[in-house]
Amino acid sequence: MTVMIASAQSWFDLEWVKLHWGDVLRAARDHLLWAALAFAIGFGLAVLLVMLGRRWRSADPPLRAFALVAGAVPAVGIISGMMPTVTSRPVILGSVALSVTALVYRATMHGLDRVDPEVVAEAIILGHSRWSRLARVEFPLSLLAIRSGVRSAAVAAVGLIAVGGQMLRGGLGLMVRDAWATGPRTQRVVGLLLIGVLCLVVDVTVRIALRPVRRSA
Amino acid sequence: MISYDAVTLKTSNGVVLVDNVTADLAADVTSVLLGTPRATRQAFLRLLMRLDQPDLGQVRVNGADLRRVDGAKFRRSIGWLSGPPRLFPHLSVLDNVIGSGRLSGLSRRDSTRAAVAMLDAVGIGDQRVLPRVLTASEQVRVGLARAFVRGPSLVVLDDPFASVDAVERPVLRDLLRSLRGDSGTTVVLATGDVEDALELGDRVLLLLDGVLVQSGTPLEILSRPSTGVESLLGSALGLRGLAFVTVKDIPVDDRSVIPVTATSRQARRAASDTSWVLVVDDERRPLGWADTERLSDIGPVTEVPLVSVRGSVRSNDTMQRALDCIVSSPAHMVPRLDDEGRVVGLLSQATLLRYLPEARSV
Repeated sequence: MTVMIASAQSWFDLEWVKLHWGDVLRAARDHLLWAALAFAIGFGLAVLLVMLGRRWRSADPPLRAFALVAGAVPAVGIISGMMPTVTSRPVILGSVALSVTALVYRATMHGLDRVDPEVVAEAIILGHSRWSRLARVEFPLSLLAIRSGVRSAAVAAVGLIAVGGQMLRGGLGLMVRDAWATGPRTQRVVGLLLIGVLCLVVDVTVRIALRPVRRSA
Repeated sequence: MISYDAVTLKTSNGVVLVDNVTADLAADVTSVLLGTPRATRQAFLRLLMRLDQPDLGQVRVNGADLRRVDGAKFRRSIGWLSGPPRLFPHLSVLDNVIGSGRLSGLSRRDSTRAAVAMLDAVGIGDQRVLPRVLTASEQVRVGLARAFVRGPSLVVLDDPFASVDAVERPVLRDLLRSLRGDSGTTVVLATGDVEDALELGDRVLLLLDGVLVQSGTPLEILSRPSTGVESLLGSALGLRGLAFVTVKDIPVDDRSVIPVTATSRQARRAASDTSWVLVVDDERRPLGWADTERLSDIGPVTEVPLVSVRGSVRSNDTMQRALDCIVSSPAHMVPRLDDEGRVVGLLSQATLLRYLPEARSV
């Protein structure tokens, strides 16, 4: 009762939530879609780079250096985002995708590097081709490292989309930012809570999707 | 037929692993590469599996130069096991074997069926477990199943029993023999263990520091070892050689075999080389040894307790077994039995020793 009749400066006003529920859902949906899009682009690029790095070992060092730089790009992008005139939605989505690429690539290569070389040699002796060895032996054995990288990347995508909300002109990030100075506290709380929930849901989803599955090698 | 034609292989820093070796490994038999160091043996196998290519010479399998075949495709057609077996740790025992079959071109259904049957054959009951819960011996069994599930014409084994206790090795050797059976599979086994080599090899190739120093059947190798191979073969070559000659052609003497109804006097007359006689029942099955020096002048041969017969041989048993039985027997003789278990005669220490030179010249 006290919550429902709370003032505009109450931390949680259920009436405000009921009144703006449609806007909140729209913001959450946009947020998730942008995060998913950036993640998909970044993940796809990471897969391409991993295949490149495994096919031509000499390409691996420059690719790792690229991943290191790419991991820092979102920060640059977000800082430049403080000046909305020089940024745009594709720039923000691209920088988040690059961050995803960097996290996934580094985690995957790190995991692949740690596979026991004797097991890899055994796969070669048994007649596995390069890609069959990668898919059936090396990836499953480095799945834990890959999974942690993909989980970090997915959660980072949700978080970075929130930070870049103003430049994206939408999403939960913008909702929080709009409410930060003068808006209702409830708007801030709901926005932050939903960002947290989205991170949690994405994390759990990726974790389930990449659980170890036994297959024949 | 596998041919190494004047093959030389060096490491990248110039160390010679295989030094101008020419050798033929016959099809349908087990050829053993016995030698030191292990790197040399492995170099031979790596050449055979087309993991390395010779610096000089060529390796041929059934006439085909291995340099001209697709290595991965060729390896999918052969069975392989190293010691210790490197099973894929993320796959169940069954999936490890199924995967091997699948690689060789079997359908999933056929591969699964063959894998289950093969694991049953090697004595692995719980096939859903991960390899890490298996003992060393069980892992070797799974490795053998993985090698043979492909129904390969060639199986390559690199010190397959290296991780197994000596007490379990004879069982695994028997298992390998039974898997190979009379399937006509060509087996190439590299080992540093002389027992594995002599027990399993139809033909043994002795390698010292990359040089082929001698090849032949185990008996040929033991009978006429080349200079310098003592370090490979160890001591007691003569005794080891007895394991490859059967007692089939050694004459036996039945004068000291007497029926249970015989008298002491008859027993004493029957005793020839020693004071002992073998007492047999009505069907000439052995009942025990009797020491005629302990018998009185009158009375039956059974008036003193008979000493049990601890060992006997049949015509396909080896001279090594016969010698072991003779040494363990109080009479220093061993009865030779026919297929129905009836006593044919006695094989004495003296007869065996007389026959030794003939056996070693085989």
